Amino acid sequence: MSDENGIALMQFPKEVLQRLQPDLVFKRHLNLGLRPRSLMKFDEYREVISVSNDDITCDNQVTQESNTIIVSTNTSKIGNSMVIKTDISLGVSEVDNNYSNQYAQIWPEVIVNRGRIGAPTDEEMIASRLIYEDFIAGRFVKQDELIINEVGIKKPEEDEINYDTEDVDEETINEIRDKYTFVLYAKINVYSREGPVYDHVHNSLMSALTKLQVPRVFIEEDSIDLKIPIKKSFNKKQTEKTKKTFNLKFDFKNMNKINLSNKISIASNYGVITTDPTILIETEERDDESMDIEKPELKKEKIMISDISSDIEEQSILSRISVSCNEDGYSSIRLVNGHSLDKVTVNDLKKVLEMAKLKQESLYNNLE
Amino acid sequence: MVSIKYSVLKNLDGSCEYTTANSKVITGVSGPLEPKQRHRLPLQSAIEVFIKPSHGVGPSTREVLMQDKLATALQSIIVTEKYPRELIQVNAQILSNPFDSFGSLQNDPFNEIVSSMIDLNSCFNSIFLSLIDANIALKSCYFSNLFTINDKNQVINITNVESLESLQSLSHKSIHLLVFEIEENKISNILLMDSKGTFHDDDIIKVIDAAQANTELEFKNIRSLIKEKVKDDYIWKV
Repeated sequence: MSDENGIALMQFPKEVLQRLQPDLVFKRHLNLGLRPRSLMKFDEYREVISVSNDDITCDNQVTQESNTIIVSTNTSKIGNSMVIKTDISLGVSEVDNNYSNQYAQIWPEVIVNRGRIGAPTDEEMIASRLIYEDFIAGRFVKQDELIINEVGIKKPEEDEINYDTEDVDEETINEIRDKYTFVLYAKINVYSREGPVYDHVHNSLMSALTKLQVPRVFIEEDSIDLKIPIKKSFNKKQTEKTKKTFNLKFDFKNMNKINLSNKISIASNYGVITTDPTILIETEERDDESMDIEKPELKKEKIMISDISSDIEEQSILSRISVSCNEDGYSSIRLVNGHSLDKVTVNDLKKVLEMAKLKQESLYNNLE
Repeated sequence: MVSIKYSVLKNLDGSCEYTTANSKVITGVSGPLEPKQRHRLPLQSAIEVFIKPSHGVGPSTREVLMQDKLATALQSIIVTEKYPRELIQVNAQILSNPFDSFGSLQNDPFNEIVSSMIDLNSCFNSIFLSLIDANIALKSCYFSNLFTINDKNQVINITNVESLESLQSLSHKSIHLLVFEIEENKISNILLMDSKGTFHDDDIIKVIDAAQANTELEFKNIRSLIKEKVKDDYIWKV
């Protein structure tokens, strides 16, 4: 019929149409009461299988970084395909003067693997920054827990390390004690991404945190008197000085478990979208008569979707809420109304907060 | 307390300088412009937000997150359908942030969040006036508030806190950025809410109430400013 007007009627298979008009495909699914690409209910979450452990591993086989030692890992499988792997590793830094009753920070790096290399994408940077802020806001690890305050001594002829050094009047040990602190790094890899990653990345990191541990520190007795000459300058008068140095060694057989000061928080996300009954596909052909008699009422309905989980949903749902909470309360709420017609109202927010609490309860035991 | 200067950058379509008791930003809006091919959307305009920090080169991850929040919120404020295949570019330069001096963030890591929230709050309000100055069609108005709840459960408006020392001594339990959408001079909805820290349901209610009252108060000034501006701009009318 449209040939007469010079425009051919185009038909697209579903896969093509969902890339061209994700909105349309999504709303058609909603009218049928379904979510695209999965048979989840509107308020259903993907299943999360999460495994955390505290094995000490070294990732040098893969990245050639020989000094990255991972002290805690979590691997989570979300839904059918998405896998998130969190590795927490340690660094050592000098202590700032005013560390007392502060909370530690973490330096996360989120990598969404999509078969490309190059600078981090906006999504990766945003997820990393959000996790960094969440960790600060959650106040999970006290700085005091990470400060190296006991140093052992290993005598060359003995295998045992003597940690009972309170009475040992050794200058070097006093120089190390309370002067150095562990720093936390988290490397989070996301494989076969499906939908927004932030909430699942957050949960994976939280789960890895529960297994967080730091090694005990010792020095070898031989190295105590180690002195290294340092030259001030080559051109001027060469003033040679010696600097006392020592090798901090880490005893990975003796680990100290880090006690979290607050319970881990669980994040979940929700979106709001309005159905559009005008694009309803007629499934039954009706007679002309019935058309006149009963016209279906065109009523727009607001639908709350939990766990935004596919590309179509991600592109069409622009008004979102992300809540992270634990038993004691909330630690973060992010509400953005990105669509002028589908708006999250205060009532929706209330509903979401209730749902987030339920989700937290169910996932908390699962993760720990 | 808040000082606003609009049309400060003559070569841009719209600009605004927004100063609060503890922060200062300058924002500019250009548009509608011709976008790069890949940003061209067939039915609506693209929105690009750039934020430059008060020191150092940006945008770093801190600013990228702020840009993302701004861009998504502006998506529902700007009438994007009016400018198909075009681009609206929003630039913000933070001129001063209370935590600018070296080492001032060290006291408490929570200040990292406070610092970026202060920037974001000023950017939101300044960009609104820049958009109006640039004559970009808007669906509604908005106003951004920044509140903190301290350990004594007091709700404090951060934009009024002047010195760095008093900011550092606030001992925040939680911080809340609340942007309200305003339609026909009435608050219609929450456009963006960003809360961090430890808080409960009653804290949320308390903050929303305080922010609503503050918005009603502050938006009066902004409205009269806009009225004045429109009057001045159309001098050829009788």
